[in-house]
Amino acid sequence: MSLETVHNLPVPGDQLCRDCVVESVQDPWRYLCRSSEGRVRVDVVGQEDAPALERLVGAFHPNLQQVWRVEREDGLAYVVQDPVPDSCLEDLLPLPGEVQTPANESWVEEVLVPDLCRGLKVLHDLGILHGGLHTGSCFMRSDERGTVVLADFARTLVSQGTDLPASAPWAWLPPEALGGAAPPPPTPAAEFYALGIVALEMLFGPLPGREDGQEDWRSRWAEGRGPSLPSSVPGRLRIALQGLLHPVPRERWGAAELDRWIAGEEPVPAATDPPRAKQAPRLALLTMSPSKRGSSRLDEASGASDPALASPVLTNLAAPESLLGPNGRGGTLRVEEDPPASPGRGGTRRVEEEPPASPGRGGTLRVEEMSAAPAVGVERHLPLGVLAAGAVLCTDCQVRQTLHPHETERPGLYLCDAPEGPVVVKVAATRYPPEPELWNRLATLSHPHVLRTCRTVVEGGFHFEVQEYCSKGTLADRVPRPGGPGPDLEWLCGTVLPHLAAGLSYLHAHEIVHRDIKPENLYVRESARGEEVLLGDFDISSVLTSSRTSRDTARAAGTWRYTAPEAFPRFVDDRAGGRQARVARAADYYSLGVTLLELMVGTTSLHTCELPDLFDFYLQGNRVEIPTTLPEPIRLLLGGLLIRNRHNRWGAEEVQRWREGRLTDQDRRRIQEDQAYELARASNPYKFPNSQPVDLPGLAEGMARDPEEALEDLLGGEVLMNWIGALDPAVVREIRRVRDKHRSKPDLVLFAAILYCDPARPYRMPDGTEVYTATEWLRAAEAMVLRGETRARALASEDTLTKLEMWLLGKTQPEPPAAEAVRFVRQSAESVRMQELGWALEPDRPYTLSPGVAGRLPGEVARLSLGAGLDWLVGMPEVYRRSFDLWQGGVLYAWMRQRGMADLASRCRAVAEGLQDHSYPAFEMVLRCLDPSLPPLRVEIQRAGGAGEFSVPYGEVHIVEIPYRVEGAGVPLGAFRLESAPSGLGLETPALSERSGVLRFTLDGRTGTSGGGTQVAMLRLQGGYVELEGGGVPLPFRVVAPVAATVLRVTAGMAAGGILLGLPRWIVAMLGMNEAFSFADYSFTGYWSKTMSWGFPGFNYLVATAILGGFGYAAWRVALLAWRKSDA
Amino acid sequence: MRIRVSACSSRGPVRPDNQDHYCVGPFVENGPSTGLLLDASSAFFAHQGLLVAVADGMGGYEGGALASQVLLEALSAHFYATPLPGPEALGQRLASSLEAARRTLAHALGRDAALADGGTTLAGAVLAAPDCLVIFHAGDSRVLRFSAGFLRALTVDHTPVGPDVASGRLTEEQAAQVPGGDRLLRSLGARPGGEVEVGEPMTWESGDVLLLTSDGLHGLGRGLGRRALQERLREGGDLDRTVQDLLALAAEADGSDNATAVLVRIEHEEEP
Repeated sequence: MSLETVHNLPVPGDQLCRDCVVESVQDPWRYLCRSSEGRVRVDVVGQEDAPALERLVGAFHPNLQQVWRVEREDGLAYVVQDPVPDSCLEDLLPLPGEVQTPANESWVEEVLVPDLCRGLKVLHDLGILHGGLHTGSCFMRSDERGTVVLADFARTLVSQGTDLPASAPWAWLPPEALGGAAPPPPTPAAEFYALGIVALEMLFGPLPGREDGQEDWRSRWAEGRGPSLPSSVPGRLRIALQGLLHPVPRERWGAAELDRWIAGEEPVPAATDPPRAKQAPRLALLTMSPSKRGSSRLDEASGASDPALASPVLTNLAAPESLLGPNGRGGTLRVEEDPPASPGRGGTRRVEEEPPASPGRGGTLRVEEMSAAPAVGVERHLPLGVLAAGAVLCTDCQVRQTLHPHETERPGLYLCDAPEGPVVVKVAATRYPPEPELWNRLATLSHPHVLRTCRTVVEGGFHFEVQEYCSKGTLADRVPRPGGPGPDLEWLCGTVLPHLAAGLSYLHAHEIVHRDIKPENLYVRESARGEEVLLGDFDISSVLTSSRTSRDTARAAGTWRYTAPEAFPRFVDDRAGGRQARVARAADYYSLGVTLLELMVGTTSLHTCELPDLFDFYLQGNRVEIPTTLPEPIRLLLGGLLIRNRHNRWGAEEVQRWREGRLTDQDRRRIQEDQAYELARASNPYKFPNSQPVDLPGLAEGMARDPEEALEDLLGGEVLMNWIGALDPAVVREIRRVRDKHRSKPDLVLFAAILYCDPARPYRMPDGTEVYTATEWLRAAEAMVLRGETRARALASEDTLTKLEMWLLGKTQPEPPAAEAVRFVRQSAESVRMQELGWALEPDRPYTLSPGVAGRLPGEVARLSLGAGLDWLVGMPEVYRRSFDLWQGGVLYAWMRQRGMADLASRCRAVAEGLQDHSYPAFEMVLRCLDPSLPPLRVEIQRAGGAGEFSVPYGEVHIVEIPYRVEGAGVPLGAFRLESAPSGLGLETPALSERSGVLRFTLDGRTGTSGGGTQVAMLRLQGGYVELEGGGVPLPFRVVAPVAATVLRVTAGMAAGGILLGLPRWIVAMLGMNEAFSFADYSFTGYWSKTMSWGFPGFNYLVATAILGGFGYAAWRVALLAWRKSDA
Repeated sequence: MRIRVSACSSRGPVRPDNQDHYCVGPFVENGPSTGLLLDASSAFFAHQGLLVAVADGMGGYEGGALASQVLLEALSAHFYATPLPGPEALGQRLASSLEAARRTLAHALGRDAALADGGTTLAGAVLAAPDCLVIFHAGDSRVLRFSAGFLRALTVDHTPVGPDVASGRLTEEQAAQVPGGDRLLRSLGARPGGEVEVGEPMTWESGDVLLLTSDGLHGLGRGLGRRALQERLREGGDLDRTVQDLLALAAEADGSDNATAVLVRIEHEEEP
């Protein structure tokens, strides 16, 4: 069900998906809502988009719109996310013609491009593509730097396994995404192209034709009217934009190149596919640079696996240099940096073909700023790519057609019109410049059967070879196909062979070995004498005096079919002391033999061989089969050329003798002897129980298969070491060094031996995963930990990290920075190494406190850890607890170390050590070290009592408890104290360590004097990050005199005294000890008089004294009270 | 750390006398057993280091026993004459001690014409603080190191087949078949040409075990091969017991010659 079919669209007040209440409607599929997350935006998308969007949930990143959750209901998916920042870049586009400001350029260079790169990287790392990146899906926050946020994930796609097309406007799509009836699924490379367009628009305004459709844009590209880059773009930004806007996806900049550019490193060639492949290690060694081709045919390029090259739309595509024109000039092609400066022009460049650019310049465009720059291309490292018709190379070669685009690892071939006539200009692959000795000779070669090189030019870091153009193509067109005409053996033997033999003889006589003879490199020229076959394509040819070996050159996998056995890198020449043989002339004749055989029968046993490494074909003792259907003389010829033993192989003389019918018995015998030739014997295999390797990579494999045997040989003697040393003394030196250093760790020694014998071998994780880079290792390790297959400590043990460091330094493409990081991390505690390694190897990785909560800066981490004060209302927040655990485990310090905050980490440690017994406060102090601007905690005293709160009756001791509460985020630590406290006031609970509690005061009325008046004490709080409300709380204290109690006591005393006096008298009277006393006569006065008259000796005086004393006492007390009252 | 040494020498069931001698520190013996336990952090070790060596007097010549004894006594006496000034002086001290020992031996043998053909092999090691190890040898007595379960020879026999066996071109069994393969190319005696090969300084560490043997223990084709020695050392256990077992195994395997073994084991203090 699609949204369009829903007629009752939500309105404000309606509820979308569980708890989102609509506040406003932006689009039929976009709503601003209020939900449990607060104010959110809810995008409604189809459920097919949900899987990708769900991957974004919790992927907190400052450059990505935060996605909170994805709810599925009724066939739709509701994406609950943060509202986007207010400023969409679409609304901030410069007006056409608006003058660019340095501030804007600076923002594009320092903020826009890096931020979008980071955002894209996160997406791609999550395995998803934006699917619709354009200016309207990018937003700018209103913070100080203008942070850019990538948003609008409505069309986010899973990058594997989907065929959903992109939804970006066509203007943001690169050329490879435009071709075909159905647009291809987007790719990461396409998204970086879109990034470049966004940047371009933010510099110069809306792109011309941004509203055009697919066909219009296809036509634009075909006509060379793709987006152009004005000359006013500053140099560094220009480099990045050129890389991003490269029309060839393989050459286009991606995340890696942008990272280097952001880091300020030297500009690098545009992105290429990673050279390594998941294939056998030996093959990886051979195909380290797999993309070299000797072909110059567009057909072959069209048939290539790269869809970009296959598209006919891409013929005549603009090269990067054609982007270098002023924008907004109606889409005309401008090639400002091409061609190179004409001599004597004082460093300026004239592009006479261009329409007027600068006023009054009469048809030329002067690019003074490029005076010192290379002639072709702004940056010498960027390949030329596809050149449009009309482009000029080497001053006077006008491009008619691009036969093969110039790439980093493949030469470019351009059919041009030159003063010499039609020529092919060959541009050497930037990564593989020609051998200087050969280069200097090319133009001097002159033979009817050697492709003529008119001239060679080196300019702007490029090597141009202007060659004759052979209109009849190459012999690759003459290879018999099934169902086609059969081979013309007479022509092959009567024309091709003698022509090639002559050409080879000429080259060899000039000490040049071709090394790449195959049908594609053999050209056919039409001449007055008929067809002539020529040797061409000397890309990997060598001068015999040079030391270049087959390891030094790039060779496409298919070319190995024509390679002589001794030319394989793994071949070990027993006559050369165990070292690889240098390629000699004989190898060319072997290649000639394979070529002739293919031209005769359409294929060879090498073409049909399925072994991943063709050298194994020979190691297994195989020979190239020569069909018995061929005539005997031809079989003899091929048999001689295909002799495996190079010392016995036919050469020029034998071929000549064959042609003349003068073969000798020795010539024939050598063919027969080759049947017994064993390559393996020449290679001195080492004997393991399960293998007999003949080279170091094979030995590595053998050691891996028989580790116990290998260890016995490595650690128990020198036999294996000597065998290795015979092949490569440097390798054995390294292995011996490791053996001596780590002899107590045999596993490490074995690892080192395997690594140094085969540096191309991937690192094998405990779960069997093979990884090739440090980042891959990290990902695989983390995945294992996540799956519970192992513990992080096991993967970060001393031995494992030692191996990892060794591998990173020793592998074919070493990663010294990563190795250094591993070495540094080894010094840390084992419990944090894994995480620390993650930060070391992925500097962008944030500090994750909990899923979805991560920070990149110390202040951010501190704030996130503490949270808001409201979060603490119900107790310690989980994120705080988690952050505390991480800190206690040393993870925080590990992160700080990797972020260059080692000093701060040391300070934090010192602070924390001072609070050893207070772990949470110690953590608080650490957080405040990370962010000194964190607000302090505030303590509020909750006083309910009034003036009488701190009063105590004289002679009594009271306890008063006053609750307090801590406001703010954090765990408090402090000490209350009383200032100017009177002696009767004491504080029993000075410590502050809880967010709420009571303060217990002791009010002691015994120590003061009653009626002494009120004294005010100040309650203060001492603490590093806590403060008391108002800075202090006054506490008035007084001891209260008990007046009523005193009077009551006196009265009671008197009454008691009276009773005590009268009672004995009455008892005595009753006992008859005195005159009879009748109770009936009782009256108080009579009783009193009788009592007083009783004849105790001195009784009267006694009673009087007592009565007087009692009254005296009472009077004294009253007087004292009065005195105290007067004091108050 | 501690350094435990155990040495033993046996004339074997065939020979009438024992022309082997061993040196453990200042003690030179050729008796059944000598042991020593040294604290690696002790002043003695710090200032004197530890010298161990095996010398195999060449049988068939009178004076073989004398040669091995005199050589080791002179070597030990000179080495321990004064304290080592420091680890950097170890090489110099060893060189001078070897030279002094050689001269002493030459003088001792030269006094009597009957002893002129006498001679001896030598294989030894010096351990010094903090972790320096230097080995030296002349002849076919060997120094091997056992570490992490693997035994590897640190010396190459000075015989015609020694380098071939070390490089793997010949197995020990094959080398034993080579006529004259066990002829000594270097030995110490009255005649010149007995230069001792001193190895490059190495390091020792906890867990290392050095094994010094005369060819009666490991002789080509008649003694204990490397694997057999390795297997016994892997069993571990009491060092005295181990060295006794090695000699017993050698006697079982062949026993036609005197056999001497010195074992030096670097231990952690906590080890029993």
